[in-house]
Amino acid sequence: MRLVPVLALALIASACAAETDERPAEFAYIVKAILAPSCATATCHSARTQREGVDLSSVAAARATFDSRPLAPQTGEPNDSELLFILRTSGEQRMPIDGPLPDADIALIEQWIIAGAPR
Amino acid sequence: MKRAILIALAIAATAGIAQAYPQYQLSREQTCGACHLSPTGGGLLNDNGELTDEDDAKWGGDPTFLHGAKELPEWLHLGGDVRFAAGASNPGGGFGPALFPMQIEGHVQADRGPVSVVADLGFTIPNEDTPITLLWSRSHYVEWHQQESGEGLYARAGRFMPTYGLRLAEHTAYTRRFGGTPLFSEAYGASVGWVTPGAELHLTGFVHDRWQESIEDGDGAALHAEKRFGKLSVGAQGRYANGAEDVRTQGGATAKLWLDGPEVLLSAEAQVVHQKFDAGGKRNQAVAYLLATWFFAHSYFLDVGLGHYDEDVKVPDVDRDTVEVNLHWFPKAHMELVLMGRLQMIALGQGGDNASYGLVQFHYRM
Repeated sequence: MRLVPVLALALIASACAAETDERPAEFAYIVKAILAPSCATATCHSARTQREGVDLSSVAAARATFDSRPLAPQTGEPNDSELLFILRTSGEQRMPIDGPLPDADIALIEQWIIAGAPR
Repeated sequence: MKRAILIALAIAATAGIAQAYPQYQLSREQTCGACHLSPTGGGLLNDNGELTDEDDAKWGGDPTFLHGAKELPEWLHLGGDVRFAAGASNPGGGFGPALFPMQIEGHVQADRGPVSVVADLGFTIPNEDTPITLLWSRSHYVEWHQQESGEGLYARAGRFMPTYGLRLAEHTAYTRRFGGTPLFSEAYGASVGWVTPGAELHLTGFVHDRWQESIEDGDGAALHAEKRFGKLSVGAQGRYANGAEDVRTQGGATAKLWLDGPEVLLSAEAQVVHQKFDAGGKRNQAVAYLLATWFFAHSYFLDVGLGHYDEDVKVPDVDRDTVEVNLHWFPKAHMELVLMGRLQMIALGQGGDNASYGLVQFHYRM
């Protein structure tokens, strides 16, 4: 039963989160923490299905995908990024298509792109 | 039309394939094996499960395989599930139409004494370059069970989903995808368990699929234990997976409470998921779900669910909450209609666009 207060504390901590975002704006972190859980689902951009030729299931697969298309050109210019466009657009191309990413996640991705999108 | 297909794919990806109706577990029976051939629930129904299907249906009907058109030998069990959904979905950029298959899958079980061979084969969205990926067997395993009822000891080896969580048929927003059992994350492994009306324990060791790509890329173990005190059930669970690029360690609790008076079942699950990345960095995620199910009339029940997911408890405004409403109706044996609605919010509307959907799901069980 000790698990119950631990879980309660974790959920309270979740509700009282810190005021700053100190996550690393790094490719490997962004892929594993943000893109893979939300985009590499079974029938979308998983290693198995690879919709539109996009595989975001692992860092290596995402690197190959990013190297082969202009999702995040290494120009340091956010407007060049197809990824940022589809995460923010409000039209048919909006992704993920089952619910948007938090603004904070998109901002972290933008920070990585401004840094030249190193991968 | 392209948008409808894309939305369909996304919702199919988040939906999950129905496992069971744990809503019946405390309100009627005490174990999954009371209605299912499998002691862990899901898949093919046993005789009692088929009778429950008939009893629950508004207009009855023959609940057996193909409505009784084909009698099977006692050692062979066949079945299948077909699900479609239609409606509208708003992924954050406005509503669009949605019409899509959710599940087209057949099941087979062959028994020889206390040993069963179980397999399923279904269709899924294929890889455009590899059409054979249209076909998919999520589960295939050999199982030994001590008693025909599914109670007592059991052991299983093969490809299956490690027993974990509430195992709801409802398409929960977060607890499955972020809580360790996302759709198509079955793995090869061995499992032992012990099931009685008063308690159950399931322990699984697993390795990820080396032959076919799976959502689960880790090797590890899962434990789920549950103890019942009359109409209250409490559970504890833990899971460890060492993946190619990360290590996930998670634990949590489940609970169910049946309220006789209003005929309401409350179900809850809460977990903390610690994820350590090989490339550096770590995070703690929190995922929780609370579901109230009201059996308000024969052949109907209504679910209202609240979901919570925080992708990093130390980071502001990356938490998500959802409200879900599902109305289930069983018009005739083998058939189910579900009205499903969901609203998702990020940081209670302050961290990004809301998303929502309204769908009708049709389910036919062969």
